[in-house]
Amino acid sequence: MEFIRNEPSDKETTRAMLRVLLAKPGLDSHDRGAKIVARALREAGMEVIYIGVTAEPRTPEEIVSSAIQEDADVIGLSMMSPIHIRVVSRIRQLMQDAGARIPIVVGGIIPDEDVPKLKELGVAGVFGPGSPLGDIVTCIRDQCDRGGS
Amino acid sequence: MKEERFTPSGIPLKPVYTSADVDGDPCLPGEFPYTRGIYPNMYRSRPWAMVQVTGYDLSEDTKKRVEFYAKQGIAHYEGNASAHLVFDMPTLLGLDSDDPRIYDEIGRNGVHINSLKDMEALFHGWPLDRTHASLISFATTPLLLAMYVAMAQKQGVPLEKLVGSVNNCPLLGPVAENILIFPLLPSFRLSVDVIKFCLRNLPQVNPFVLSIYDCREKGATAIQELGISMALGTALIQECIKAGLRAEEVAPKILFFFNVERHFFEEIAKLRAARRLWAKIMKEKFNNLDPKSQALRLYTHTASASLQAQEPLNNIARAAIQALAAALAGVQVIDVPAYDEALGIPTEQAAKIAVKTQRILMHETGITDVADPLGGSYYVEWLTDRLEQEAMSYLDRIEKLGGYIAAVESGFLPADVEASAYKFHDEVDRGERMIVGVNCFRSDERTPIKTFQYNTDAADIAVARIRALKAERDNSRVNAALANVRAAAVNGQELMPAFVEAVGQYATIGEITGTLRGVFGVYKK
Repeated sequence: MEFIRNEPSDKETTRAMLRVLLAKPGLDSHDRGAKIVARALREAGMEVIYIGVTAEPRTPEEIVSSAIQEDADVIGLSMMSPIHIRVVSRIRQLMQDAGARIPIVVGGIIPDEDVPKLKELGVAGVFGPGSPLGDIVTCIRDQCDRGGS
Repeated sequence: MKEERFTPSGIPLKPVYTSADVDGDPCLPGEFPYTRGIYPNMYRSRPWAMVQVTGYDLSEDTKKRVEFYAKQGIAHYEGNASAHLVFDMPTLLGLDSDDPRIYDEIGRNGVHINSLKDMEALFHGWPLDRTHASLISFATTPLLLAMYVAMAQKQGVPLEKLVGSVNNCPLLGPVAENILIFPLLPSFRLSVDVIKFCLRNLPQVNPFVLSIYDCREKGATAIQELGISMALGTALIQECIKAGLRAEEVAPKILFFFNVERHFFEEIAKLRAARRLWAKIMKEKFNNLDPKSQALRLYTHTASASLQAQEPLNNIARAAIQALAAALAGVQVIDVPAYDEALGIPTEQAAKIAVKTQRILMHETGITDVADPLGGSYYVEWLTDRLEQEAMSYLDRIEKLGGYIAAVESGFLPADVEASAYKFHDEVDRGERMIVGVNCFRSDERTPIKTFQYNTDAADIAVARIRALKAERDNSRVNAALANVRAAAVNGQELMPAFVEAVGQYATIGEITGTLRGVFGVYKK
């Protein structure tokens, strides 16, 4: 698995930075939004572990195990294909099985009627096209302030 | 007014342009370097082809939509039926329907084709010799083309009668849509193999569509779009020459697939500059004086990424203005997306308006009467010159890094395009770039629109089909054909004949791609 990450210059300060695992579940290749968000989070001082698009499907199992292994404070999921409900349900299940509680934030093309469904599944924020980057940054910070980690 | 103005790619603009800003008269349409168009009378002799790309769910679902477009009068040149097809991710990445990891993606955002059976169902009942088929696929182009060929052979249609084009351009993957399976070198080999096969067997099929469109959708600027496309075009011709082909054979068969984005004049100037750049590259780099090689054919799709999810009806205006820019630039093909495409697959209602937009443009505005109506405009000619220069220096930068492949592998091109995407988004966020209904002039009320609904049974049907197929075909023949594919890949032989044989035995897209993954490996960023 390839990671693109920004290593903090000083290892000592690692946990002072919020750590976000940003992933594109499934096969969808439209990663323009995810990469822009990754950059915005980095510029806001967070550490971003981006697991992006490959020729193999990115499974919920892989996302959850990466998030736990990397001790992520938040999981960000970017999806354009209408797979979000199933992916989020599965990730929640896997986290429960592993005894992990990591807040999830979702971005991408999400039909209006699915937003409440995602919220019911415990998703902390849903960001559709045109969402200001500042709002995404704030939402992720709020999750961590609430004692996510 | 004091404030400075720039085009989106950063070219500073003066408030007015005069004869002092341009050198002499531009050439005539139909003459080198084809800035003003590739035909002397342009749309009077050959209007642009109206195209509607489609693909979703299973073969039979997509077939219905293609037939719907035919009913709307969508046809290609010579009255041929027109099927411009996009495929779902499993098809594009060569994964089979029964792979549990892809279940949710079957038929999403493209039609699901897993074996020759699906291709046969899609084209059932259409005369292949009267159909213009465009397969907009990336790394699995050779397999989809092989299916099309095997289908024609089974029906007894002579291959030289097949008409259409295959995208065949996964090579932009690392800087565009990422739809790349194999590393760049074997990917080039496969693309060149398809070109060779088409030149020999399918004289009416365009074997390569350089799809720089996707790179622009990813956030590249107009200058990057020009520079990167010219660098890739150059690399492709070089690879073809290495494989024993001549530039004069290959170049006339290539289409360039450009985006038409928001900035009206920069986009028009960009398309004019693209023709001039290519003509000069042919002449100066390849000493290719053949007019058919130099005259660049432009396929355009207006900018899907400019369509907004907020107030979607506004997208009708956006697409119409972008289509107008394409027509004023003298392109050969225009595809207009529907207003609801920021939300999903277009509904029939939305698709109808996209078709009518082009009809209004072609038949109500008089735009086809006179070639290159903007030729000689001080501003447009100056901006064309300026974009040509900027693109040339970008191309030089790529060449200095060792050419297209080296500039991708060093990470320069992916990072540079990503930086442009971020800059654009940042400008929108800060309100420096206005998007109506998104960051300015927002309406308070939200009009819900009806969006497309997928066939919820598609995935289950596809899984059942692939299981049935694997049970009923002659598996010893399939295995023998896959062994031939493997041998051809290992020994550096041409692969297309082995693909045609394998798909003809109903080997699946996943089985053949899996065989190739075993030999070539996969692309690693």
